Amino acid sequence: MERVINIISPVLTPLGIFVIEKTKALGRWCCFVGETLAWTFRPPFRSVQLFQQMEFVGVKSTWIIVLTAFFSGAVFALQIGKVYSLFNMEIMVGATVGLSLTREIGPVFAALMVVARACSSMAAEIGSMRVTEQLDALEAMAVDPIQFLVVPRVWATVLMVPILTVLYDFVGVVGAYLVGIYVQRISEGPFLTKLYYYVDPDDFWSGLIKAAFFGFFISLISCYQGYTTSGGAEGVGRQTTKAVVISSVVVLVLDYFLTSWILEYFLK
Amino acid sequence: MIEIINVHKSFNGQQVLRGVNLVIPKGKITVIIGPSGCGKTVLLRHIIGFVKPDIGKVVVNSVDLSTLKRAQLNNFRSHFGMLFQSAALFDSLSVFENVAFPLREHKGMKNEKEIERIVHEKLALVGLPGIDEKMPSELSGGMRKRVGLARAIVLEPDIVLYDEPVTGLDPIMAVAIDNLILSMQQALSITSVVISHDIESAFRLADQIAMIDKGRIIECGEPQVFRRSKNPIVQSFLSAGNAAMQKGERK
Repeated sequence: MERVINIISPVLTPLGIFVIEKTKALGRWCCFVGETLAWTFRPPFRSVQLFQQMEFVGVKSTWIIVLTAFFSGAVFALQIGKVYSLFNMEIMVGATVGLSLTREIGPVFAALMVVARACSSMAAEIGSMRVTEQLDALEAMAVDPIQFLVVPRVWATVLMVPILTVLYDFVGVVGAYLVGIYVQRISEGPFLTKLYYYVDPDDFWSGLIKAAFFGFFISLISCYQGYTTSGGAEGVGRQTTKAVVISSVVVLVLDYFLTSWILEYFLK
Repeated sequence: MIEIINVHKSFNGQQVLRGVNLVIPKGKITVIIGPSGCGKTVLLRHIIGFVKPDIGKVVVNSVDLSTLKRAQLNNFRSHFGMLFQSAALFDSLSVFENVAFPLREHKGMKNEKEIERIVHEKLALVGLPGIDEKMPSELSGGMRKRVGLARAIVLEPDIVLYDEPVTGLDPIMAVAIDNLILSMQQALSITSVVISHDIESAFRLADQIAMIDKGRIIECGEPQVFRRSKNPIVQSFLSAGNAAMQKGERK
């Protein structure tokens, strides 16, 4: 028996430690999410911080969204137009781009832009507050850091990512329209008719539902990474990178599951 | 009065505090000294309730902190002010807003004139009038500590905790901060707990000195008694401190 233990313990011990550590990490994450949700409904409500964060996440991301949306719509129209011209289907370019933007590209790219511009900043800001004892100072003054810093950021992102998605969809379609009509010389009438015909309000709403979910998770992940920072400036850099990488991956993974859920129940 | 009774604490299997017993008298300055990494700051964090002991308890003004729920502990923290090692000023707020923060958040004060009066009074007390609009990034290390101190005392707490208040400051500024702690002690009669590894500063400030080593209090007493301690670790710490001072003077 002792021999068997000697053989398996070098394998099982690290595995056990790994499982325990991951379970603990999962527990800490669940507590963080739970506290964020609980503090959402407890006074005092931080409306000033909420509006400040809405400005930071939403208003200040406007130009980057306009720029990326215009060119992604334009390049998409260019590629699709090239392929569709082989089948004389150029008039479907508007509808294809419109469907892709409203259902997938709009919410996903808007969320990724918010990750890159705002969520990285959230992780870095909260992380540097952690390592310079500012979060402890908040607690010493009886202010809960989750309530004061995390809750306004999370709900501001949940509200603003869908609004940025609307902007992304609109500007993307404008980009596709300009390329389709003025570069590929597609007739304006059929282009717009097919766009109106194939793109339903349900497509648009399904994109906005996804965007709200993306906003919730990317802001929570980024705040959590900042909140759990340790190890000085190096730690802040490490957690910021983790926040961006994990949030980006989560957007793409979550997109698959949300899409299958929406296709199953809403866009039959 | 603060009573620390048989406090044990470990982090990730590493034992930091191993049965700390200490009584901090009301209205006096107690300085806790010890080498780096001996558990001084962890002990301070127990006193304000940031950390709960694995074993033992911390009793502040006859209230056992471990029995308090989170909201009760938050309310109880109005008894405390804390000066952090890095001052921990909020980068995004001006000096005025930093000092006014506890008044707005903890006391829920809305009267701007009253807030202004209190903030100006506290900034004058720490010798920094007229810097309301400056941001923390525009201040020197000593000024940041003094603003941190103004913020720590703005609610007029019974107890002020100082985490290495003179670390990283030049000797003149270190003496100025010590004098400030002493003058506030005399003006407000607060209970002060100072964490330090600066021997000179400790003897300048203390009504009582406690030394912590390897997670235990190994000596505690008035400065004169402490200086005569027969504990070899205390003597070696004192002589190392004195040697460093003499070397500095020779230079």
